[in-house]
Amino acid sequence: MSAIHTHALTRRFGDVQAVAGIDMQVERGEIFGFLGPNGSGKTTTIRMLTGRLRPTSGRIEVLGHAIPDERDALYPRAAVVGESKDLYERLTGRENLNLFADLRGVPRSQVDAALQRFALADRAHHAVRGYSQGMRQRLLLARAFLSQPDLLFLDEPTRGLDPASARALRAAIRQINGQGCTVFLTTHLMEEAEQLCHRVGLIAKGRLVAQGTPAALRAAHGERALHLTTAEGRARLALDDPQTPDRVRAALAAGAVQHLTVDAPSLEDVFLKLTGEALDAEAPDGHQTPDREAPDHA
Amino acid sequence: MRNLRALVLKDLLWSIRELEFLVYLVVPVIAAVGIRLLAPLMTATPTPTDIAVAAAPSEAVLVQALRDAPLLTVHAASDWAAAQAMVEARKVTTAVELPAGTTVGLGQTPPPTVRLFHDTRSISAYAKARKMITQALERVARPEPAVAFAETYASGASSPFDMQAFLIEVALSFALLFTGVFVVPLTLAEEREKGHFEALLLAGTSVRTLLAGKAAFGLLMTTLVSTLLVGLTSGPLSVLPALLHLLPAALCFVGLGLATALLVQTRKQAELGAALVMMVVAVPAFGAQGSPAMSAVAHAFPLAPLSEGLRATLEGRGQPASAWAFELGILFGYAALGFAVAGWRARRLAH
Repeated sequence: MSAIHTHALTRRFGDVQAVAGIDMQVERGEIFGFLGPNGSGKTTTIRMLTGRLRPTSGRIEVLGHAIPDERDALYPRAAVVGESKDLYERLTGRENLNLFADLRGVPRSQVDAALQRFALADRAHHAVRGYSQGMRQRLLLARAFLSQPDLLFLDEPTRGLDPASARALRAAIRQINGQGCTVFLTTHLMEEAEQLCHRVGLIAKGRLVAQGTPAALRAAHGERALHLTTAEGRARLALDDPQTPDRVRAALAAGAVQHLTVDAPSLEDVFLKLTGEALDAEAPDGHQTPDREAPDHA
Repeated sequence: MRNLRALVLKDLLWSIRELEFLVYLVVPVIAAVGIRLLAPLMTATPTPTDIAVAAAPSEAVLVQALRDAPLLTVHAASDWAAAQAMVEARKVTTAVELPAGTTVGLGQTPPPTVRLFHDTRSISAYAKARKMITQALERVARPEPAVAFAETYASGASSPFDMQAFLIEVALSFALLFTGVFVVPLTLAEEREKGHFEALLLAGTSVRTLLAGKAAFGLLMTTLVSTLLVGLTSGPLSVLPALLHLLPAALCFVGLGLATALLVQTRKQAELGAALVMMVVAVPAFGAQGSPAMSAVAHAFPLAPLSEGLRATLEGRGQPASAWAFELGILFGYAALGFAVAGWRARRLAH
């Protein structure tokens, strides 16, 4: 049984189609990356998957529960890491974890273990308002993982982090996944998806344009190329171009080759090819979906 | 129960670490100590205003009601002309005639049947006397206090103005309003704005538990502050009777506060809404009546009688809670309405 299954999932906000007919399957035990530019519908999708936003149409099943109707049965088994501002800033790190441990019925001893595990024990008695962005993200992960969920939703987990903190956080996510927890993460960072995810789904303007392993998507939609550097400059030669072997041979014979590399296509290239837009592009006006829109306004 | 305890503890920790809420806890304690230290000086400060009353014998109750008014010394006059003469002779500042059968409604300034004659050289004294007469007549309109005043008159006992009780009552009223109308809704609005509300729901907490947690927090804070204030000033024995007067009003304010916080979107809007609610309920609570609008609000939020009941309790002449059953019923009604609106709105937000 898959961890997440959606069929024709659609959400409209007035005239704006935020999510348009997404069919998606996330297998248990995998890290699934939901990749798309800002405003493409990632957060809206995650809110529908967690039952916080009712779809306009379509079906959602998460861990065998129909969402949103059976969301109360889902919550003990799933956790969500959203924005770091939903931490209680005036409370200490430990108090934040104590609160959620109590609400989830987890023994307080797990709080100490979580603080150790996410390298927060030294600052556990400090107010969260003094934490760095990296520490806040780790605290959110610790909070989410207190109850050892079967499924973890991460919404842009490395947003605003410096490279070292982002690397540490990715290591923590891999560790969590290694213990059997399915991870569904949204990101607009191609490298993050490539490094972390077993499979990815590419979303643009609310539509899922492709899904599969990064390697499979690259193979199916990417264009491999040679980068040939000579004294005259740098040239990109498509590998499937019949003239490429002759041009390389000629450059080698002339002794003009300074550098020759095979350029594997990235997910960025795949996304660009499939959607015609870059991953770090903002959604066009009128298509930006609100992060925390009031559900009853829809 | 464990969830409720966790939510209340969270709110307590959160509140005492924010300056404005810390002030809310510290100020009553400072006020209590100040009242305790200064009360002996303050009780000696009343300035009597002499007033002559001409009334038929059947108006003895009214005469005594006026006599009961603080800062007012009543001199009986045989008839209207004699009362006027006392004003002319500057023995008193104001003469008042109270015809037989006079009854007045809440909030009415002296009815046309009441004649006032004042010393024009003492306008401020006249204004004070007029206000006191109005308040005294309102008391008389209530059967129970009128009987109580008559009994006091018969026994010849005096009823001195208790400045300490008055100050405690004012401090408690502010604390009460601040908790229910400000602290509770502002914490909730901030939680909504920052996403805590959603995080708590995602942790499996029900809407009902969230609202119950907020209400419990508000009532706990009211109890804490009231106990500190009353305990430090009037002694521990006064705490429980005072709480019986305070908690129904606190419940009303908490219910209205929750509804306010959930009907708006941001903390700023909640502050504005709370300020409006506070203005509406606070003015009649402090007896600022007179205009038809204020009179209507005083009827809608009958806090003034409860406030008087609280002061009477603090002065050691408390009445049974049944005496305020009507007012308590109205406050419980507002509380129920507030919680119903808050529950409806929270469920809408949760879904």
